[in-house]
Amino acid sequence: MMQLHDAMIMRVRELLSGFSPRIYSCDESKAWPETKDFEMIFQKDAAFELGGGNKASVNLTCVTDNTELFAEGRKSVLGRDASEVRTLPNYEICVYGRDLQEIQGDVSYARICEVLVKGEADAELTLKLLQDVDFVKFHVYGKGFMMRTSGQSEREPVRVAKKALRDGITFERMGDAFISHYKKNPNVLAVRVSFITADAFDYEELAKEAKKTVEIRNSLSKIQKGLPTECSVCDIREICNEVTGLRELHFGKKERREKDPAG
Amino acid sequence: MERTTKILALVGKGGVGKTTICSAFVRILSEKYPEARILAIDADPAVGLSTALGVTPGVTLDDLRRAIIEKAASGAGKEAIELLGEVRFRIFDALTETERFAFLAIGRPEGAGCYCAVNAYLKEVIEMISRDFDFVVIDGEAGIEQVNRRVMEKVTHLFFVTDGSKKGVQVVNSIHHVADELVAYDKCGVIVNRVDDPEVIRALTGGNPAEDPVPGKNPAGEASEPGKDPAENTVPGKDLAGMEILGVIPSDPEHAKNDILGKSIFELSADAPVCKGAKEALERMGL
Repeated sequence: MMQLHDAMIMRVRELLSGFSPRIYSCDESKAWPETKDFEMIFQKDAAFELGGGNKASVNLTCVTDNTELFAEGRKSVLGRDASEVRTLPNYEICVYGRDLQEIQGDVSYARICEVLVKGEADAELTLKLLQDVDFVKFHVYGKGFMMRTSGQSEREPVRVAKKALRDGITFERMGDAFISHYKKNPNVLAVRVSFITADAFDYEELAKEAKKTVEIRNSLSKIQKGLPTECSVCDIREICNEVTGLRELHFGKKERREKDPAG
Repeated sequence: MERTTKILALVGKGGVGKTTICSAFVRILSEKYPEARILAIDADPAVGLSTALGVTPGVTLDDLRRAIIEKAASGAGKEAIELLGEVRFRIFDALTETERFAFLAIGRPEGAGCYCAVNAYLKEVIEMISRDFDFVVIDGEAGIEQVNRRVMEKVTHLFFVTDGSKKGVQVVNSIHHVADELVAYDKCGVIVNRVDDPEVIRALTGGNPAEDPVPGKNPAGEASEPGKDPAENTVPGKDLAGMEILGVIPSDPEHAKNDILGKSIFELSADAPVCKGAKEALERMGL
């Protein structure tokens, strides 16, 4: 039942289809070192800010249990014909545009994590898994890579320290760090982390998709609390109409309640 | 290497010169430790530290707090980790960064009334971000409220500031009494500000050697006893509950002129009494 983000994944891949990424297989031994907790980087110590100032910054985490979609997606993400699809590792990093060592000043930026998980049939478990996967972003503290991940919007500007650049930070190594966090969750089967700095990318469109993930999570949270099952009076009907799977989760919960009122 | 943050706070009655001394602390620390990370916090809703330091703050801590609450009320990001993420995201909007220091203002809640919420928020923010700094210098709200509400709980160096008034001394003694219970400070002491009359100084300080603004002479202009260890001259302040007197700063016409012209503390001569007095107080605290 974890297909709430499937349409979003397709849309993201469509947005990325005109670009050729650099692709790296995950190698956790190369993961960029982290600090124990969030550490501030000040302007005077920063080389540049990804998504800083008036530049766009978007983070988006999409979760699915649709293995087929994940495999199909590889084809469209890489922009190759089906015949060229190779056996890819389950964990990989894609870089669209300039890598950290090539950036000179503030640039627009996006980070997308596509995560394949073992599915859950229940709304509560689905919400918990979505949260667990999404909240990884609050626990990655790359040394000299200060992510200011908003908890209430899709924004995620990142200050990159001059010292981190001197020490050799790259998106590949930050991607390795991200993936090592996801791998701690036994329900996670595969992850693709994409870093985007390409000027021509449609960040605005991506931000619209990212906003939907918040709406989906809020809706799940409301379903948990017990919404009416009469669609005409329900205040989440708009997002329910748009996102495949939400209604099934909602009514599934109702059926379980009817069978087991105590549950 | 583990950072050991020193959190300095200035408290006392309104109008005794806390803001000026606080700005002088920021200047002196930034000159003495040019590589140090220094955060100046204007915790006084009356707002004045920004002018003294020559910065123009945009968003205040209260603006930030209200924006996060409004968003959460509308359904976005209510989980604890999301709220924390939002603070980390927005704190840089409220932080004014300069080459020498960073600045944060508490701001004024809209409308009349209670500062409890913003004070509680200030306490959390101090705890959260102070570890990223070497020095945090807090210009406290006048009176006892922020000490009472444990905003100053983590302060390591507490500076009481008074002028020559009875009320100023009473406020210092009241805050000291509460702070002893609620603040886990390492050191504390008193700065007597804008007092010129030797008799008043003597009454306040009881002949403490720190009252001696000119090396070799006491505030009355009398020569100190040669060859005698100044510490032996220490007599607890009569009116100041025996607290250590960190310095006596006379009226400072140069600073008054600087202030009225809207100039920052960094434009004041290093020999100005307020700078010299603040430097001496910091040294007496081992900073």
